[in-house]
Amino acid sequence: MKALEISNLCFSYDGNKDVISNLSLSIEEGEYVSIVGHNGSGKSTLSQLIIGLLEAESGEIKVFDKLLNPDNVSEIRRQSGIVFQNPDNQFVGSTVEDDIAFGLENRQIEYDEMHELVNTFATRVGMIDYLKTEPSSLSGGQKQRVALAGVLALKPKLLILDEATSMLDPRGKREILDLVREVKEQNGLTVISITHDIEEAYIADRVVVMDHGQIALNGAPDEVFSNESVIKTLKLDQPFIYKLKKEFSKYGVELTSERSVDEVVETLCQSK
Amino acid sequence: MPIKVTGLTYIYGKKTPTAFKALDDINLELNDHIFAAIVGETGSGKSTLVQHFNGLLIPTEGTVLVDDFLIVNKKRKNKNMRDLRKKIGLVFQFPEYQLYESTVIKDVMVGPKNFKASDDEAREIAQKALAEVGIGEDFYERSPFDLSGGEKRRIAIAGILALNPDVLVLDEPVAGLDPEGVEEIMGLLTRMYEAGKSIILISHNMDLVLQYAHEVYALHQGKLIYEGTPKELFSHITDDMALEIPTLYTMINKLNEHGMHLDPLEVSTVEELVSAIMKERGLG
Amino acid sequence: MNIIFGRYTNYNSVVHRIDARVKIALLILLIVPIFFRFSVPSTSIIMSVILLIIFLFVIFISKTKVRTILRSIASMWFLLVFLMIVYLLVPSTDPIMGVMFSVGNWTVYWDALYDCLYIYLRLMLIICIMMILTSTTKNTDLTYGFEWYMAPLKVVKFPSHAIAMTLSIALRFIPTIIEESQRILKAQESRGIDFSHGGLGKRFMAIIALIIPLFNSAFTRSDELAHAMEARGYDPKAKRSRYQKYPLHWVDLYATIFVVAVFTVYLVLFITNKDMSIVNLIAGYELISW
Repeated sequence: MKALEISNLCFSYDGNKDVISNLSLSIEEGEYVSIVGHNGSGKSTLSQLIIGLLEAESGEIKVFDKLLNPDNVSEIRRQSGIVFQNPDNQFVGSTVEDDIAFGLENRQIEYDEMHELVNTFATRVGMIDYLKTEPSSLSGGQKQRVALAGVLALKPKLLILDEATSMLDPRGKREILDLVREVKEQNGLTVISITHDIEEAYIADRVVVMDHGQIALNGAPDEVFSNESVIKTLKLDQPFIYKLKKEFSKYGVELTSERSVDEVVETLCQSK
Repeated sequence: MPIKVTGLTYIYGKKTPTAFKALDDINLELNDHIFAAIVGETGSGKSTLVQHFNGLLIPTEGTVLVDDFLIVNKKRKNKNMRDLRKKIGLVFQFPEYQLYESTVIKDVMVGPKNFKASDDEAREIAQKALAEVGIGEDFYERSPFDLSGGEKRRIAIAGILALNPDVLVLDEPVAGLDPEGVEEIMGLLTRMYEAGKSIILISHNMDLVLQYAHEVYALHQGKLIYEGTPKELFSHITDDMALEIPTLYTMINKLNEHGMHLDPLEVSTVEELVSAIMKERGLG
Repeated sequence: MNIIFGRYTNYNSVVHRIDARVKIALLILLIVPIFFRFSVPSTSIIMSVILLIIFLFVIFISKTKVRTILRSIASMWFLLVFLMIVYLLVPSTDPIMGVMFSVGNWTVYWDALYDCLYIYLRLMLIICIMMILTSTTKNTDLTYGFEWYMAPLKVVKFPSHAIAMTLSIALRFIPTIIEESQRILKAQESRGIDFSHGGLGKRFMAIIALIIPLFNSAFTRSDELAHAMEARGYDPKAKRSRYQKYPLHWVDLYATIFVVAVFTVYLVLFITNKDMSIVNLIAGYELISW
């Protein structure tokens, strides 16, 4: 099944300059897709269109084969969750447990089930010891983990990360990404990660590069980054592993499926 | 302008139940015309340290000597801090949040005017500062609130540059910017450095530290745990420093664990790394 | 905000355990006797002091810091001085306590000083109540308490839930905004804006440099928060379930009995012994108990 099918989508904030212009994109269920592009390329607008916070001017968005329209926004939203950029501005509850429960309360989950879910997902993101803690005593990374728990507790099939790690320190960033990947593996979640971080984009199954509201490149990470002219015009960097592979190929050593430092090290040491 | 920190300890909320020692007996000396980075995990005391450099914070114990300004925990001994703030320009994280005037040019003029420049002088200084950050005349009369993230940040930095400081201290100057914005800001800092200013950078981004800084100071739980060049730091890093290593050095360490003998001090680019590995393999 | 509201401190005292709804009602009930004025001045003062002792006792068992109360009173020094001046300047009507001093036409009676001190005392009592409520009740519980009392108003389409949600979010963001204002202050100080020196005009301009960025970021925050809430399925008109349950306990009953007893004693004394001195009052009380 397709998790997301966007066809000929157009959107503008002021009616004349298109932020999203005639964009089509489809994402399979269970896929991990990164969307990159510089500020103003329309990537965050796209995420808000998908979750129905904005309404398209023309074109279609289908989420799990259901066409998104103003009448079924809330129904379709039940299948997707989104974590935003600023850790502080999405922390609604006055304590960790209240925040995780917020979405559950909105769905009128029963008391006992809700407590079970809050506990399960607080444990899942490693925040079980902080249930009664107020947001002002948490780090940015901890707040984002709570946000993630709040979203995951709603059991979404599609998870959108809208620059969710861009305000975190390296440790916080890594913890969030590891968590997302774990959950994705276990639950077959579809993940769309909007990011500036090229290293973060590289771990996805597929990379979509956006420019001026359109898709400039779309494909497997190595394939996308090998299109050097486009990557260069869009002033995007190349991921470390990609650079490494390219450099090795100059020596006639071809690395292909490796996606992380560990995998490259393993290959190098085995072939030795 | 040299900065000398001696026995600096800073305690937040002293004499309250929530007292927290943010800095613990820091000693360091920053020379004239440097490009330095201060690193450490969140809460390690980096921001607290730099806020002593322009007298926003006064040491609980110890002294900070900036040029001939002595900052010490005795009220009457501290000279006028405002004059110090002209020499040490401190740019906070997300400086775009400090913009408040109706136009770009007016906002950059705020600093000079606070230091008694006339309107004309201030305007001239502001124009120069804006030119330095690459903001053209067509922006002068626009509202700072309508600009993009990267533009706002450059204007906020221009607001500090307008004071013509000798030392520019920046707290996470590229946090939240896209790669293009990162490049703009880092290019700007390099130019400032080349023009003779000292740059002190707080950053989580070790790749940037490796690429730009000449010297690095690492803090951990309020203590200075390392000073030296970035390369030295990354080749000597240990887990208890709670620092993220640039991917390049992670790779070197892992290869060495697997029996290779790569010298981290010899390698600082992907090209050098691959050639070193190939050499090693040739030998093995 | 910190002037009359304490910060919630996470102890597990008896006072903390009282249900928020019960606590609100009981504290309101305790505010009433503060306004009972007996015609004999010494009686009024003594009755207030007894009330103060009771409050201090509650404060003691709730482990609230008396120092924060003193500090909040100290931070109102301007108001206190202003009150004192007003009382001394405005001529007393029907003075009964004699002249303190007089300059020309202007006579100050001891009554003025008494009235003023009596106001101070009442002010302190009210502060104590606010402190007890806010430092022993979590924000969520507090808002739940208010929402519960506003619930009947739903019948007349009063948005009691929306107001409670707004209140709870406002309370949640107070520390964030305080932190942010400190950062903006420092950032603006770094570019030479002086918040602590200079004339009124200059200070006003300095404050603008704090207020505008603060509002600007508050608007961004509220936008993003609204998006985040909507994305998590929040609809102000829809029904929601509750994560927190608020069952009543024995402690709520005991507290109610205690407060109602105090209230009744004051009420009875107020109605029956309005014009008596404290000596008669106590004697009268003994008579009643006979």
